[in-house]
Amino acid sequence: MQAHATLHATHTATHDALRGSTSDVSLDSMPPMSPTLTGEFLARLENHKRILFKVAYLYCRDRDDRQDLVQEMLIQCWRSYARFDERVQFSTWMYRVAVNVAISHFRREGTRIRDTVPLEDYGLNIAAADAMFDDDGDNMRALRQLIDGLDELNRALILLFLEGFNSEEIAAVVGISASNVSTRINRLKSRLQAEFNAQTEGQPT
Amino acid sequence: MNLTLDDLKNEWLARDRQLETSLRMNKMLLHEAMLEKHSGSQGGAATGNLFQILFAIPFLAFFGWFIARHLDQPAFLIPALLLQAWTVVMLALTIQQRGAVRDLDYSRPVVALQGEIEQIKIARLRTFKWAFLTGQLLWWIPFVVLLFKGLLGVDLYTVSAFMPRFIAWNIAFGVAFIPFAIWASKLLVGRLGASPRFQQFTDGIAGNDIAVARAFLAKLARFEGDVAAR
Repeated sequence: MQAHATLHATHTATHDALRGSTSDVSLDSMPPMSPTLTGEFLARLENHKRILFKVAYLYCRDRDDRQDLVQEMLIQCWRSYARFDERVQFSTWMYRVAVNVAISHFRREGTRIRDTVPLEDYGLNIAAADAMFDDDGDNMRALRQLIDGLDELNRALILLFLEGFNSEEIAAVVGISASNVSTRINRLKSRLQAEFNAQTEGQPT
Repeated sequence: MNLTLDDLKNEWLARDRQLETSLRMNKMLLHEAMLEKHSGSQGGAATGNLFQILFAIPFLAFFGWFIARHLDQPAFLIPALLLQAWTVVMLALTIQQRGAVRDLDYSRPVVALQGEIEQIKIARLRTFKWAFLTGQLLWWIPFVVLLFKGLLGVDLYTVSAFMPRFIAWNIAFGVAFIPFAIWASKLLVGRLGASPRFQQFTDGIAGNDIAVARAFLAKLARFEGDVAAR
């Protein structure tokens, strides 16, 4: 029946919407890329690949879920690369894409993208990176725990602050004014600082 | 120990070098995986649209033909027009929303893009809700009446003395079902936890997901607002 088919399509679309819009991210829907552009993208990706893992690390606790997230970021970066504006720094651009995908993923509440394949099939080995995160010292663990308590938007601010961006650069990625960024970062710093001190004071020496 | 967040920032940045050496990327494999997948299809969204259009064509043709033949019979004309309009609107909305998702530019600033995603989500949830609520009404009695008249030449309004009452009761039930379904969904939300799909369904009908999406839009607006000025 037409009604059933249309409702099914609408229902499927709604499930996609509920899962977050990146569910439409699939390699199937990528625009054609010239070999030169692909080569250029891969070269840039190689120099900045750590960004994907750091963003994924802050937005995803679960290891498997993190792999899916890195894959989504990778695919979305490639899809968006045709629109990359050379006036913008590649790293800034990549943070934008990665954080946007991570927030969408974060808001999806645990469902997965379709067509998930092991990240190794894409030539990315993140086992060593995971091992490195596992070996984090107490400070980094405590910091991570505090960041886990932040919402998706403030998490982006603190990530970019930790990455060494100034207020103007953070404002350009997030899309709010630089003064707003400064105020928010200062508040977050005070809050995290107090929580961090409380946490470390409670630890046995 | 009294570390500041700036000290932690230095520690965080120091991990970069270690991360850089830990991560391995096989460019050749990455290149092949992307190209191999890419060359396999013309695009999922386009295929979905084509499928839906192809599926809708026979129905649109049937309703169009039926309308042309019953212009002077409102009892048949009105349900046919409603079904035709429902099919066209739902098809257009689904295609438009699928296109909007496909065209999202993830390299836009976070607040702008997340707002856009949420708007699309609200539109999709609203479409689903009203497609279900109006579809259950139109695609039962009105559609059956058209089918019998159009394909078999049988006028269900006059086939028996009981039929007009049956049709009227069914239509009345379908209309009453709309507020009832919204009310019942609100009542059932979160009570049948065993089925996430059913929960999504009741959330969609009750409008809870739309409320959540609106709350996130409000949160984005507050986040965008200049806190220093407050």
